[in-house]
Amino acid sequence: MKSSMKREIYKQLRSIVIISVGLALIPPILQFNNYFLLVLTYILLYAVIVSAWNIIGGFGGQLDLGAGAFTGLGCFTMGTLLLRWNIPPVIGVFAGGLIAAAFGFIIGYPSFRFGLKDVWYALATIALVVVLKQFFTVWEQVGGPEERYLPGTYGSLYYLKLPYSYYYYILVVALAIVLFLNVKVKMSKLGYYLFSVRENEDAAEMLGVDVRMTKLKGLMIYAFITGTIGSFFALISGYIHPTQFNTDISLQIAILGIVGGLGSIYSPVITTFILQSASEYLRTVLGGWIPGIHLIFYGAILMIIVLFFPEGLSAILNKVYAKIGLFSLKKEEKK
Amino acid sequence: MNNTLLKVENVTKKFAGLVALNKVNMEISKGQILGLIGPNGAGKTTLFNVITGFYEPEEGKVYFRDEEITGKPPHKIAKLGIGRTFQVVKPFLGLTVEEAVRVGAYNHALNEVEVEEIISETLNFLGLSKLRKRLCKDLNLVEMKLTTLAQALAAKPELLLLDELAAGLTPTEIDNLIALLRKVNEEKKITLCLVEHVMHFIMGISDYIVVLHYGEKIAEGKPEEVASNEKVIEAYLGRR
Amino acid sequence: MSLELFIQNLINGTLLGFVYSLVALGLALQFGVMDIINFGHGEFVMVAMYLTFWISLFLAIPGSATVVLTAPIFFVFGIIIYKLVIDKVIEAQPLSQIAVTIGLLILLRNFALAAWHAEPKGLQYQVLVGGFKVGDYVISISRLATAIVSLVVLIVLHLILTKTYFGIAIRATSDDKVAAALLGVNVKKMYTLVFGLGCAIIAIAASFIMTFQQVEPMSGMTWGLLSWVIVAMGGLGGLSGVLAAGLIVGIAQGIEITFWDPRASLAIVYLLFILLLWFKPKGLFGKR
Repeated sequence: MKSSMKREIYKQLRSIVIISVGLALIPPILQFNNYFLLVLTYILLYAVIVSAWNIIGGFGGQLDLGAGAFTGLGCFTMGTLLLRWNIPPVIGVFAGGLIAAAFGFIIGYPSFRFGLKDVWYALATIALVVVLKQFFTVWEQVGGPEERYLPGTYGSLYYLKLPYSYYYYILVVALAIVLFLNVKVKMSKLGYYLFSVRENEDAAEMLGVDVRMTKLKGLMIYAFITGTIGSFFALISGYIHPTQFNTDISLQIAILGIVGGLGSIYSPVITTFILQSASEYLRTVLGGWIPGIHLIFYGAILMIIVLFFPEGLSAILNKVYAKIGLFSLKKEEKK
Repeated sequence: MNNTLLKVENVTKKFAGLVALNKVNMEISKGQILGLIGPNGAGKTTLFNVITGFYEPEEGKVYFRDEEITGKPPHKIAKLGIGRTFQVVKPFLGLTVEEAVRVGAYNHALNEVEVEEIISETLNFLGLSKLRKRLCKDLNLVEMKLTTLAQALAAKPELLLLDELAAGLTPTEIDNLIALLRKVNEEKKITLCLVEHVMHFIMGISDYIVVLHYGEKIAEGKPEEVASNEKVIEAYLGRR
Repeated sequence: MSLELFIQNLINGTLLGFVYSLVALGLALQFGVMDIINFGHGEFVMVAMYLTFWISLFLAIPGSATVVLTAPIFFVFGIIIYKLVIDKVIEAQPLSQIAVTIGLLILLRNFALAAWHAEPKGLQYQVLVGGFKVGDYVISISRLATAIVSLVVLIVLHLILTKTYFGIAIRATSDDKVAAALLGVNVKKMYTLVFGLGCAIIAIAASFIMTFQQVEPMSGMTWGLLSWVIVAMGGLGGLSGVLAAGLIVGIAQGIEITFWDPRASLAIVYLLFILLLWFKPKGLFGKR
């Protein structure tokens, strides 16, 4: 029995390695210029966060809209450590993750304690984004309405002020790690407990599942990853600003997770690549002509998918996986 | 040795002024099959909710193996050894049978090897092995009910509360269920407490019966005693 | 902090509170009766504000007068949205409703951006301008007018819900749609009308908001969240709850502005909202 699980993990590892190598090869093979590289880096950034969201949202069924809060906290923790005490981002990003996880606890513990669900949990978490944004706007010692530019000369490893390709490859590794974490969680007690919470909280409790604690664990793992990876928004743009507490990020992450298919590991990530690339393509082709047109399509596509493919894109992607013989998790078809 | 497994002492539960349970006392002995009956709204499910920690009673206490469990959260009560199925059968629809049972198996298993053993053993015991990989939402009613039972058994309870497990089943299916539950009781040494509307079922299986009516215990005793009790007949058929 | 300033801010906050109630009213009606979670509510408000702007500009009439057109137009808009989108998720789980209406939110917001660009737009033709003095305090005419309209709409809606067959059918549907259906209420038709009615109320609110505010594509987020805050606070069904919650939010903002940074006024409201969800999950006035 044990060996079958090992075999499963190997299989998953193989899929993850294939994805990572594929992603790593895209820029040199397609001869990406800086612009394309930047676009792809942002898409990758979203993909990592969507994959983290999958743990609380996809496995645990909690409609979290706090991603914008965690990315903002990541940016500000990393940036402030760097600006004030010259602490390098290598440490700062993880500190950002920890602060984000702490805030995950602060919002999650009472929310789960008092049984907030569905729309109310979603609203509480998105309200947190706005609360933090305004506090950091008012808190002039750390935030304030002006951009605070990160120090360091271009090319400095200490300040992580690097060409986009570096960020890109760091994020490829991050995606591999988070995907693997998804696999590990999914096959562990925590994963099954999260599923049971998503399916039926009362029944889960009666089987010995500490529903509150299970949600809290899922939320904090996701918040940590989102805070850590979210600080790359600041690293890439080179400054910190309260607009990095962005409700749009919250909405996009959640919707990509839902549209990708709750609980499946690879589909949300692949969905992110497909939809974000399509949206970016439309933006470059049509955006100069009509601003926002790419997001009109984006919104329309989301609605069409939710209305007509309630299982998410994973239902379609699973057939593709089967065809090409990749990613086929034994238990892929979760929902 | 004390033979009492669960003791409900003077429990009162109110909802917005309405008394759902009024000073209810009840004892379940080890190894017993106890039937809890009463007309609609008698407070049976409320009593289950108090025992399993979903509701905190205004008054009274619940003891399990001489330990007070009043006010403990359900998952702790589950850890202590009380299992339960719900009135509306809700297995985890998006999971396979094996995965649904696995959630229960984690309750007492120490490692993955043990989890696997518990799953296989439980599925075998209930004759569900063929359905292992099937999604719960594709099951029929009987299979769903057995799956929820399997989940509860995998959690290794000492006492199992079953809320209307027989509802919606045909007489033949009920007879099979009776046989199965007896097997659970005898082979696995699990004490059972059943809430049920189907009289044929409850009278056929219970050693002892407690009757609730409007939140009060109006009778208890052996099935045949209860069946001939004036108050019980009145409660079910109305005053004549 | 002078006392005068504080009182002035309280007056402004109270007037604003009436507006908040009106904006939230459409949502409260739709959510209360139909159990539909519309994350795009704020974007509806934003689109209605643009509608007011354009009608006012083309017909050269004051923004407040455009309600005669915007309300019926939005009633129809609501029915179309219901038929195209809402009807398909009305029985679905909350997650699908939220996902689909977030899609709607993104679509409407960017439609506004594409069609009307990011620069804020304000009314060209106005009659409700200036203010008058009561003692030391200035009362803005546009806000006062908006507050009065809010109150009138609330009262009219209350009368519709309590006195007409349509209103009683709505309440019956809200309480128990199966029972209502058995009594001969056409639930689907009721939903369509309620959604349309909710949107008409949104349009009335939007037209009057335009008398003292500009509109931009991002305006929706704030109105949407604020409306949800008020619905959560006011509990469901009760119009007086919605009114009280709107006033509380408006006054809380007035107090915040007096004592702290105006840029954080929403932060305080949302913080109160989160605390409320935790400690008073049934809203301030019961029932949810």
